[in-house]
Amino acid sequence: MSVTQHQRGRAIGIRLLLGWLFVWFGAGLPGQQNPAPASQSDAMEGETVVYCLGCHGTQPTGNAEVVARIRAAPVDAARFSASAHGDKSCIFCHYGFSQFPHTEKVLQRKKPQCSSCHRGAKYEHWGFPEIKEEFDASIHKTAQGDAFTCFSCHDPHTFQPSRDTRSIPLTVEYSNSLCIECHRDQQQMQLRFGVTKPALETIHAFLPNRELHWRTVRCLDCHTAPNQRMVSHKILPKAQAVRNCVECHSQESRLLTQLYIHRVKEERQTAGFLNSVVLNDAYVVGMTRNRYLDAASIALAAITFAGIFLHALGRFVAGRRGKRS
Amino acid sequence: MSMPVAHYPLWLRLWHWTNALFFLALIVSGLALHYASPTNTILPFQTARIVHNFTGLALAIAYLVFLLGNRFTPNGKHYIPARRELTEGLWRQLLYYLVGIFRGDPHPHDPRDPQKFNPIQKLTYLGIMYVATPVVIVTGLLLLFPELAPRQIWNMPGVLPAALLHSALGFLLSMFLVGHVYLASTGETIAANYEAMLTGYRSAEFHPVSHRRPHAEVDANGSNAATSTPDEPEGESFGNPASNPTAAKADASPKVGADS
Repeated sequence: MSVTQHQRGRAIGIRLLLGWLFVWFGAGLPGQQNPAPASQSDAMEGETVVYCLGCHGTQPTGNAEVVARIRAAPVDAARFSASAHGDKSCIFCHYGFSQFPHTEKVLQRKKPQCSSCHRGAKYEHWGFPEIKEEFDASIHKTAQGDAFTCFSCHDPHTFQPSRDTRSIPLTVEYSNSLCIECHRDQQQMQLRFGVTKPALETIHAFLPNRELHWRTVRCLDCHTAPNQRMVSHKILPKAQAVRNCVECHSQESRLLTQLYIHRVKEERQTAGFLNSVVLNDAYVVGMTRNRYLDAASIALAAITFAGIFLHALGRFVAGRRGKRS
Repeated sequence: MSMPVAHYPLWLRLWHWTNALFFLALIVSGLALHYASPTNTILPFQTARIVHNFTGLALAIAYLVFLLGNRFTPNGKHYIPARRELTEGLWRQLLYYLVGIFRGDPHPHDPRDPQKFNPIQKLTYLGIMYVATPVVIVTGLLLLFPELAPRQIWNMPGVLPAALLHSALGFLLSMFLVGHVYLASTGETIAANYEAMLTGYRSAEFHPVSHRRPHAEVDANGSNAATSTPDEPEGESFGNPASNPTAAKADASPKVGADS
């Protein structure tokens, strides 16, 4: 039987309402006999997202224990739909969770890993084996061990891959948001990883125009070992991070092999600018140069010095002749 | 024996030489920033940045001193060209530099004249000090505080026009400095102008005529015969071989200082 748009919306609305009431009255705790809001076993896959987010996508209030459990797995509906996995239903990864209340057996089940899906020829171009190698050598993994997983940075409900089609400022903003989510928040760092770090502003006090740097380059561009992809997962120890300005501020800028790598592949010349791939996004001292202006300046300098030399020579010769006569 | 005349007031000399020092530092550090590279050994980028920012701000402050000095002393009037200077004066001065100087023609301009600068100097200094320098300072400030620049102009980063203008004008100013230093040697003697800018005083006499050319020829070329002396001093300078201050001082009449 085909379901009309109106009927479908109503059904979802009722489920959301029931879900909210369920949370409010503390139903669904193990051992409690409160009825589930509806039978989910036959829920359409596309609807599970809406259904699950009825509890997990809200800021639930009510019974403290239920709220705590729901908050342990919060999902922002808008961010999820914009994420790389936004087209998947919840049960695509969280199979078994369509049963409500969730059974203890399902709750105890091991969480899915990235590699549960991201393997095989289909995902070869992402280079997951290389990513794993880099990750294993990163300071995150070596310092934190197994406590640090892919999910520590990449929440699968919000994750967006680095795309060469996205504007550089947006790429920078998103990429840096992953880092500062933990590194900006001292409490979070202490709570999650048991470490205390100085404030980001303090560590980066040496950086001129700090805010501008943070807005225009990724943390990764200085804190990872470059590879031939846009992103390296080998986060370096603090002491190995880039501090030498000319690594970026030069014609051979490392940004060209990292942040701008996709643009470099389709190198274009705009009005004689070197490294013109960055021209639409940023002006970088020492990196963005105009070859015509450079050539003109060298020519003008040559003419000036040659002119002065010849003029002085002429005066010298004239002076000698004058003396003789 | 006549006394040398005061030519450059103290404030102007102090400004001139500090400005020169800042300028040299800005050229070196500016080149190091523009041609930055891991293999570039002009100056490390980090040092060049600090030097460039610091001396750039210092030069901007010195520029304000220059503006105030010109506003409240008579020095400012030397930058205002008269119409005649822009036409025949400019041409005559240019001809002198291109041709006359090699023939030993008299210098067409007496630096002790109430008009301290010759027409080329006047026009160049006007452009340098009242157009190029303020533009370089403003664009430099925009690069120092990029948040003041618009984010985007015509789909390009807002600081780009400022950066291009800054580097292009910075380079032209550098070339001006080179030419300025060289042309300063075309005074009565090679050292006369440098000395005057250091001590503030200039010889009371002016010996603009060549010993190589007959006086009549000089007149025919439109030079000022009143300032010419027919003596043939044993000049030791090149380019202006006429100079011999010792011989000339004997018959020197009191001259009016250009400015003080």
